[in-house]
Amino acid sequence: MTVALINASPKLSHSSSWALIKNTVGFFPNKTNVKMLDMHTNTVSENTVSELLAADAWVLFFPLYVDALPSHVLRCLMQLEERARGKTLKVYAVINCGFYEGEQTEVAFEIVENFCIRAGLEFCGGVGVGGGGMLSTTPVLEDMKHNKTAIIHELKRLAKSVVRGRNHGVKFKSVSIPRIMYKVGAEALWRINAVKYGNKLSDLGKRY
Amino acid sequence: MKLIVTDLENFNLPVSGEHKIIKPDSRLCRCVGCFNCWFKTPGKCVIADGFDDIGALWGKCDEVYYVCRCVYGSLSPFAKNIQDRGLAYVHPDFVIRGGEMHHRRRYDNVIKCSVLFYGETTEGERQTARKLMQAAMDNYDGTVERIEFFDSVEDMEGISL
Ligand SMILES: Cc1cc2nc3c(=O)[nH]c(=O)nc-3n(C[C@H](O)[C@H](O)[C@H](O)COP(=O)(O)O)c2cc1C
Repeated sequence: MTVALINASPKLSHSSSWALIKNTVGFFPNKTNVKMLDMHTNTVSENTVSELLAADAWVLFFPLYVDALPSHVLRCLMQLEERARGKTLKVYAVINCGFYEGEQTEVAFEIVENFCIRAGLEFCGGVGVGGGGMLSTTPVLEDMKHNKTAIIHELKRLAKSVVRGRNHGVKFKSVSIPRIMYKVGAEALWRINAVKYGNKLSDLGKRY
Repeated sequence: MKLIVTDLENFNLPVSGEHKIIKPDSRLCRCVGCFNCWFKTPGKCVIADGFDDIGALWGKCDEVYYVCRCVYGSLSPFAKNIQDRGLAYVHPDFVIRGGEMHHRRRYDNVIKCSVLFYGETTEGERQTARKLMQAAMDNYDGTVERIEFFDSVEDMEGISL
């Protein structure tokens, strides 16, 4: 079978979506033809459309933007809606968000499901990942592999569901540190970044 | 002030009071998720396409209206694009509200948000859209004022904002 792992973060590199893809790809058996495709901009290239239409399953990886899909992902899905209609295709998603609770991606999964209904594709669930801010900025995912934490376990189960053509359901997971540590760590990082750009700490709250 | 974000080129609903209307514009770029609006130029987006001040604009509003197509239960891509580019409205720091993580306020104003969705929708999409706008306004510590669905743009005739 052919599985398309689609990186739909608008970031060209160093995205959490990419970190999640890197940690999922190894869970597919050798006989699965895994294609890594990009959806970083407002349109899907003709080459990518062809690859997508030739696949048996899509796994869309993207960040949560204001509780929903980033605008460019919406545009791309609209472009694909007509083209994919009538194909036997299963659609999974791995949606990561900056807040701690993976549950905050719930409505975005509904939007993906509504797309599937419109396009006549089969929505098969996926994983909503909280604490996304940590996934690309620290080597924590690599560590998590050894610690066998919740996200990695769920990605492994997801790959199994994809290979078996099963509905995975929508599962929510988060990074394996307490919420307060995530908050403190992130806010410290914000301050380091602000100072790096020559700002004062008080500038973080600047009003216009 | 009222902010109206619409994907209609020829938006013509009557609007009362001080307001600004944001309409489709080919210069508009997508948000690239760089967070420079939090760290490099706090409060403003760094993309110089004429839409770098959406966050600041929201800080001056008491009402925000979206008048747009409902796409899979979401705002349409144009309206969503504007919403995404307004991330600087919130402060990067986190607070816990209603048991969930959200962002701290940058501004004191509480936005009342309304959406007039047009286009044919399914019951599922309408439910998603209602949940989405509630979640988005919980996120920005504002309120949802009114959400309405119209089968077509013509059906919005008689509405004033
Ligand atoms: C415009 C914008 C809106 C965002 N909205 C949310 C949100 O509503 N909830 C959330 O948890 N994270 C939100 N985030 C944070 C991203 O989901 C988070 O940084 C994610 O890890 C980015 O993933 P990526 O690196 O794969 O692009 C938002 C980020 C941006 C740039």
